[in-house]
Amino acid sequence: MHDFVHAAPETATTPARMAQTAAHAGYDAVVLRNHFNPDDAYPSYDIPDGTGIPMHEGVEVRADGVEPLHEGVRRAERGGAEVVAVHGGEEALNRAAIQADVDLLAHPNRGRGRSFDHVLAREAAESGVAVELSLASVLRSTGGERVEAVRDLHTTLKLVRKYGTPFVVSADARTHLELRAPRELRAVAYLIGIDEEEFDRATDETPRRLVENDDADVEVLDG
Amino acid sequence: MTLPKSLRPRNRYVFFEAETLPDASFGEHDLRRALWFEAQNLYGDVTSAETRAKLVEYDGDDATLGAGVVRCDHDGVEETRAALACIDKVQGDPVGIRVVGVSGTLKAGRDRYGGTPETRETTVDGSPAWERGDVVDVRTDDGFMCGTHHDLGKE
Repeated sequence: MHDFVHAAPETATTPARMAQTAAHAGYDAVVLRNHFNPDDAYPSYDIPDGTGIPMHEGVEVRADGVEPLHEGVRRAERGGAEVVAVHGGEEALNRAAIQADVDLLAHPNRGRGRSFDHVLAREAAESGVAVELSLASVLRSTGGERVEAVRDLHTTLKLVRKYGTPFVVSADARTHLELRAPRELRAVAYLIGIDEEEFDRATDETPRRLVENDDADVEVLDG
Repeated sequence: MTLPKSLRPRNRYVFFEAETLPDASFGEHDLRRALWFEAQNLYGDVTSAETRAKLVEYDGDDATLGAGVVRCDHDGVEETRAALACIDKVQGDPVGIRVVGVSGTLKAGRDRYGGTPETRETTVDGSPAWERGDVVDVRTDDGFMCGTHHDLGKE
């Protein structure tokens, strides 16, 4: 099982501590995906040897426009990111991310309104771009905000099921305290309607493919 | 009045550990309430009644790693896991709760899952720090930097 996390320098938990906590909780690997604003320097992680489980160095490109987004994705690919994700949530950025053929479109439905629809779900499925179902707001908010988050997840789930869009499920942890053990995450996912088989694929098979598939241009053949 | 054995509710004991920052100050009572409210908010009264999740003990004496037990119905373990996972703060203190095991009796669970490593106070470059096994939380100007011995170059 894999999870996609943020760590120092973006947060107060070092990558090594994240790996230690994840290994203890029963994860097989962790994908780092610190935010990368194309205006800033390319992020680097301080990953010491012997962290117990593999840590994959990815980034989550966060841009405020389509052009900067493409620039950020180019720099991330040149920089050797193992997983190139895009901070989604706005329709134009979601579309640009899919067209740039990135590995992962993070939380595409976080914006207000319908920022991820049937057209994008189909395009993502065709180009093999995975979509993230982030459980962050289910785990860490309450009341109206959580209701909205669950509703967004339901909408996204319906779309990715219909079009066969690959997806990952994550706790989107920023600190070691926000990380949840695999079985707890599974229980929360199940509660909001993600079945066992989907969960396994979303936390194992699909992340594995994202990590192994370094060449973003490789055609994904759906069996 | 005692129900026949076949009709009595069957319990499961969910053993968990709760990692916190060194300055966390909540206690057993606070966590019990947090679990109660989380279950209510997450899946409501009806499922809470079926699940019967209740914190039966919690030891938060250690600075960074508490341990406790939730009793629930034998059919309610997954709901209990979900509610525990959704507790992200208790009395404002961030907490990471992870289930370490599930057992049919308290005694069997204590034998199997009891005992957590202890945190000891130390210093790192003159700053107060809390060390537990391989992990270290160092006080900084705006909170804590949480790392491991690898980060400090100790290994």
